[in-house]
Amino acid sequence: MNSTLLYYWSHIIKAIMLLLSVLLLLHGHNEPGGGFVGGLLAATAFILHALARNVASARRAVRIPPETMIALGLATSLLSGMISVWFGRPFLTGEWGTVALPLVGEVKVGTPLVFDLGVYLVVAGVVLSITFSMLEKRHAA
Amino acid sequence: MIFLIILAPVVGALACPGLARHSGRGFGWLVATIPASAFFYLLYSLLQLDAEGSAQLARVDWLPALGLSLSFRLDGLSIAFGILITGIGALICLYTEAYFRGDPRCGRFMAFLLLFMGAMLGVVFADNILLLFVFWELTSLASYLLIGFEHQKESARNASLQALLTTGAGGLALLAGLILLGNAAGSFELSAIITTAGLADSPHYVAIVLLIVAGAATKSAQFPFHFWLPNAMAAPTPASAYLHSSTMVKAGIYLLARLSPALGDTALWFWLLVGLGTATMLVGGWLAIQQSELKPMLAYSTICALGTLVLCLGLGTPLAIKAFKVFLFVHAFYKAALFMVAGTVIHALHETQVERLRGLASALPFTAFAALCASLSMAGLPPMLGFVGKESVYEAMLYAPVATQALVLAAVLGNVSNVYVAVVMGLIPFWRRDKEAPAPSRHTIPLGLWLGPIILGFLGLLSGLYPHVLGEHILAPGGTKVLGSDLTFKLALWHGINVALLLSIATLVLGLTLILLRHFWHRITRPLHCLNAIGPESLYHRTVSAMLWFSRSQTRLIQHGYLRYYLLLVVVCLIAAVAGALQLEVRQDAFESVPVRAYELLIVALIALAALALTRVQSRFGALACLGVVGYGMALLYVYYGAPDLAKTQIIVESLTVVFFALLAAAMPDFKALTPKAVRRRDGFIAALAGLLLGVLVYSTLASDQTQPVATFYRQNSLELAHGRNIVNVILVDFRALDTLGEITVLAVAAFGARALLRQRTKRKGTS
Repeated sequence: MNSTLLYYWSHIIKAIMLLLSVLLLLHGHNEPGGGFVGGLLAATAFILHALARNVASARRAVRIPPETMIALGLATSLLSGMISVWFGRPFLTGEWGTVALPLVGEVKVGTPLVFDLGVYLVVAGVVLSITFSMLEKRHAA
Repeated sequence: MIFLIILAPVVGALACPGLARHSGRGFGWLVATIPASAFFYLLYSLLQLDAEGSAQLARVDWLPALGLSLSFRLDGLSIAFGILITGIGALICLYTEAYFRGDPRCGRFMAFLLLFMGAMLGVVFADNILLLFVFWELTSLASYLLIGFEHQKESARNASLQALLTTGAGGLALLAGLILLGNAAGSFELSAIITTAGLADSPHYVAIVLLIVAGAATKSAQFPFHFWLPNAMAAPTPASAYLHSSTMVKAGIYLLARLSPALGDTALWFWLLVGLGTATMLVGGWLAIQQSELKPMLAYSTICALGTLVLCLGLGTPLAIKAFKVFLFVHAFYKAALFMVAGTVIHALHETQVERLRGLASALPFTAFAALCASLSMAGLPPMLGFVGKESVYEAMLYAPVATQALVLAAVLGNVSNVYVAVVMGLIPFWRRDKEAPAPSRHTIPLGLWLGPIILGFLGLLSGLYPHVLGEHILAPGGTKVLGSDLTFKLALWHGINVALLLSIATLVLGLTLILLRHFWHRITRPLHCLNAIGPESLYHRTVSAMLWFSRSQTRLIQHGYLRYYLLLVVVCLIAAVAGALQLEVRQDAFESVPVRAYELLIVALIALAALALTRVQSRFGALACLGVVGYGMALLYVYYGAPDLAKTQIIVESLTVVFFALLAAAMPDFKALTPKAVRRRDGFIAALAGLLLGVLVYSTLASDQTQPVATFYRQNSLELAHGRNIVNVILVDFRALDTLGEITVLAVAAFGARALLRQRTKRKGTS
């Protein structure tokens, strides 16, 4: 796609989308959102990048291969479930604690959030893996 | 401690590839410390066992709700097997390093070996029979990896698959048998099963015995499942010496021995095992004589020995159990040693034909000495332990309750084969002088290659000289476990002149005659080789090709590759399922209870219009736009019904669909209406029906589900239990997190599949 406008604006739009996706992930537990939709949005942001510029540039922007992202996500979710096993509770029991952050105050942190981060990574990785492959295939053809 | 013994090899296996790269020649010694320390611990605990041979138990609950626990037991029988596994395992570790010296695959091979060792120790120490089964299958898996280690060879791949399929099929039978056994005994713990009285009166007794014996017979290469073992010789020799002679093939024997107090002592058990054992002994012995290569000869003689062991178990008399235990050790000593010797010869000379080997004693002096010890033991000559073993087997046969003459004859024939193999394989290649033969080039044989066989050969000699030590301390506790009552082990080298001794002499004479006449013998028996065509192995090949043919034809039928028919099938099945479920559920008032608002109607109308237009448009992108309207309309509905999560997801999915479709559409051929009108009508009808039915389904659930117990629970407990106000998300990541974990796993697998497909197509285009 050779649109100068898109070429230059895509970076800003991408940044906003990524920010939004992280926001969706973080407050998903209490407000509408969550890892799944956040991951989708993050993937969409990079797809926009790929469409506006090219896949190679988008791959560089993601930094890690989408397949690695999938693996990392699965591992994150799995490990978040193992934390409760360590404390002697069944697999995937939510463990919660509070963390005091500067400026924000006390924040509740729990393993479900980590689990959701895994979902986020897997979903984003899956979508990116398929889309990038398709885009590259189209260029190859 | 017992957990450590089983876990240590597995952990060691993980470290092996890295260790092999960095530790150089010390690698073998380093790895061997794992089985060696386990060996000494087991030896110590065996000596600690009191006279009754009572068991040490260790257990951790695994899935208590299902009655599954990680329970292990250390008693005379399991420790005896454990000693063999760890003791020979330690020697094999040294041997492996020397065998693979300079080969980068050494670490991988060692890792597989250790993996096997852990699994095999699990088999013999597991107290829960389901746990035993898990380890049992793991040993099959490890064996698969080891046989197919030289995976670039097709023969090795075929052999490993054959072994896996055969033992795997037996494993299925075994699982069924174990479950029936557990139900009949009311417990899945061996310690309880063994003491359960009256299992023989259970209505499923026949099925239990047949299934378990089938599992044991495939694993321990009993006739007619013996064919996989000679093919398994495709494995590198350390694996053959370890798995396929002294340990894994004894797993079936172990299971039969373990269960004989519970299942034995019936006519079925007796005749089944005696028949199986005798047939295996004779077939294995016969085929061993017919071989001309080193490893197949040893493999068939292993089959013969396994048959002897099963025969002894089947007889079940105190004498037979004694013979079983002695012969178990005798065989493990000499067979592992001979395999290692064979491996060394092949390694040094790259020659596998027995008849072409001669005068090796000067080139391989230590190996020759080990071969001498092992062969004498195998041939059953005094003062080796093999003599004691053979004498006890003969004694057991002489005092067998039935068919004494036939059993004695069979045992003599089996031992004649042993004498033949021992001399032809262990003595002639080393000690025969022949001027014509080229002198083998002098190799330096590393310590690891001859240390193992020498130790084992020497043990055969030492325990032959002092058999009562072995008998009282090592064999007696286990024998008691098999028999279920006390068993006195008084082993001696010299029994005086009795029938057994005369039989031994007859065996030796027959064996030596056969060796002198072996060329003549092979010429006259050659016509019999055509029997292979109707043997059990050809049955295996026919079964496999029939299965392949069946799956190919049914795949052609179902996996035709037309997306529209796949979709059609899915939708039709959905209709059938929904219609079946709704048949009587829909009430008249269902359609009145839910109020409909004007804007909802508007959105619905929009969606319906877009769907109709979709079927009419003549371009792909037009259709795509219509689909988009449908999707965003749905999202709008979600917003109005208070499901912002769903709406957000729907919008993003919709956008992504557009991207995907746009990407794919460019690669597709031009849009054409190819389907005839009748087909389109049929499709339209099915689509309408599906939509209607799903609508009815949604409506009826809305109307009928007044209580909503699940949703109420989530709403009330979401904040309290899971610290979240967004119920949808809390369900996804907390209440039903396991489901989500499963879903993302599926998603990941799907992504890799899609990626593989996409790449494959590109590649094919590139090559054409």
